Amino acid sequence: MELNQVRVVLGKELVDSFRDLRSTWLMILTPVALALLYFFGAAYGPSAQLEKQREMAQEIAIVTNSRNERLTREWKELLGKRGLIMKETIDPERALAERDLAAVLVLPNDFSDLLERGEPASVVLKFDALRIESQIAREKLRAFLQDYEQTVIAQRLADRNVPPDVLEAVVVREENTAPRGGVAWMRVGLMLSFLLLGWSVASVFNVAADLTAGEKERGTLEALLAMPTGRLDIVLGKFLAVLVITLCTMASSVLSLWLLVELLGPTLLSSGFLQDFTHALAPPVLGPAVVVASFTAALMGALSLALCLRARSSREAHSYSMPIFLGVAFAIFFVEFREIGISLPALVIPVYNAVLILRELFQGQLNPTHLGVTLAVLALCAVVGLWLAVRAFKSEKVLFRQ
Amino acid sequence: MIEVFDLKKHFGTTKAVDGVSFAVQRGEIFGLLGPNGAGKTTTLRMLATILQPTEGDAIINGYSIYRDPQQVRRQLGVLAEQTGLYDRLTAEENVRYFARLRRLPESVINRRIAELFPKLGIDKYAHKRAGQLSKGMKQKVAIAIAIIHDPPVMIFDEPTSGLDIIAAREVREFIKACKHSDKAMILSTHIMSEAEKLCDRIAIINGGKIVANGTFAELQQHSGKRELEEIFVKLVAEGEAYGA
Repeated sequence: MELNQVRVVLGKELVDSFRDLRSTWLMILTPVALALLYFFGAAYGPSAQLEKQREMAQEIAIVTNSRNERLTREWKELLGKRGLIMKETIDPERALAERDLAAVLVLPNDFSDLLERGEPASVVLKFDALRIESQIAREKLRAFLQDYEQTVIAQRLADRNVPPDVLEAVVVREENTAPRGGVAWMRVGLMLSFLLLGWSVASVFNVAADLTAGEKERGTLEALLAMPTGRLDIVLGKFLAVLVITLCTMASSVLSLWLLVELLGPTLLSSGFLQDFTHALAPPVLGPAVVVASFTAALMGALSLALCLRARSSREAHSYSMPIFLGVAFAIFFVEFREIGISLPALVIPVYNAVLILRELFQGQLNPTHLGVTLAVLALCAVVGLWLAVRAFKSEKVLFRQ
Repeated sequence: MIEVFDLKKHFGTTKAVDGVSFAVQRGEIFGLLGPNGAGKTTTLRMLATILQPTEGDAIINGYSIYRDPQQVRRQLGVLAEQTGLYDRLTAEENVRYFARLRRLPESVINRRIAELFPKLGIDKYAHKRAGQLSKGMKQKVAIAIAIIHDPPVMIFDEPTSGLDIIAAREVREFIKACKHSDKAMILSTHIMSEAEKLCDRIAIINGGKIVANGTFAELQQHSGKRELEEIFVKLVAEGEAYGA
């Protein structure tokens, strides 16, 4: 092996690939477009809207008469703590219809009297089911009324010398043990895994197809093979070019996402999403994730060179990429939806192990042994892939396949 | 300079080249004529060490294509119908790339480009991408690549195919110039007039075997025909071997 020859091939392949508009589009612009789509999806998607509305305060009105004035004054402060602003309006129902209010609570005129007498009091909660803001106001008001009801019941029981917990047979206290990263994996890590692994595979095959089958198609391969350059040097040069371009694809997607989060995140994202993005894009999480993705790209790069060289045309080579791309996408979603735990046999399955490790990373539960085993398996498979690629470059049957 | 001994290449049961032998001296142009599928390109690919012979060997400037293919590649310049240029690289970048693969020092590459580009009339197009050049211009860039290292042996595989009259004439002039610089050359062509004008000796190959080999006058005498086209048709049809 001559490093200088590898460098010559690498340099030429990089210049050649970066001048190819299709490659530039696929490796730079598409990941940026995907990152934009994902970021704005997170900022303006239905779940983000719900989350943001929950964090925001909604304006409501309580319709009642002066007999309940003291009660509503007390409620004003309590509702404020729940993110509801009581607003005085002449025509609340019209204000609700015109979207000036998120919800309206109608109390009967004798509401306070009924409560004092220990009788049930009916209230009407008016909201607009087509508006997220109104649905959130309804949620908050119901939760408030439920708590208020509990307080009233407790008071009534106390008046009758009955302990309030007599009504509670089973007390349930919920504790969410999922780490913050668990949620981040679901909402951010999954997409980042797709960008880092799935899109990299597409990029790898696009470049490898051009560097192998594309050379056959354009008639440049024979000229290259007639040079006094070792096949190993040619393969290594091409392999490194595929890897560098794939790393550019990754960098392009990660950097654009990071920039969007840094610049627009605090304004456009809900605090939950912002926290998830910040967790996933933090160097201790993203760094190892990029390393794992790079090892995967190295494996895919070597295999794609070996595979695409068998194709007679770029088009045929591109057709090889689709099942592999779908396979990686399937692995990512399979790991997500089947909630599969990590075992040693799973860690020796290349690419699948990378998906598992990325999940662990984004969940904030990285096991260094798992990471080490995964990187070792991926590196070993990449070396085997390179050996296959060199063999393919030496095989007349592959090079001159009719 | 070039000695080919009983060269054979089999693809499965197909005998693409079946015992081809010939020799080419310094300053000689050796023509290889044959119908499509006769084994010309396969023979040239073996000499260029792109394909490995099933049997036989060839010695090019003292190096065996079988034992020392890397050294053989250093002795060779190849000009084919397909120029082998990278469309997204400029003419100069293409030449530099192949020169670097031949391990020429940068100073030599600069000097050779400065010499060859004006000589071939491509200096104005040096920074134009190969994909934007005409076929004739591309062929001139391919010539620059083939001779950047000043090889003692040249292989021409249908070098004027698809070129217009002017471009084809320029390529032929280049081949003649190579003869004057004492290179040994093999020219594969299906253009009879080209072979007649350029070649010192001609081998007619058919079905992977050389059916005739000699000077134009010898081929005329043997076949009793005057025109090379008639000689070619007669010898191929009869499947005769002459002077091989």
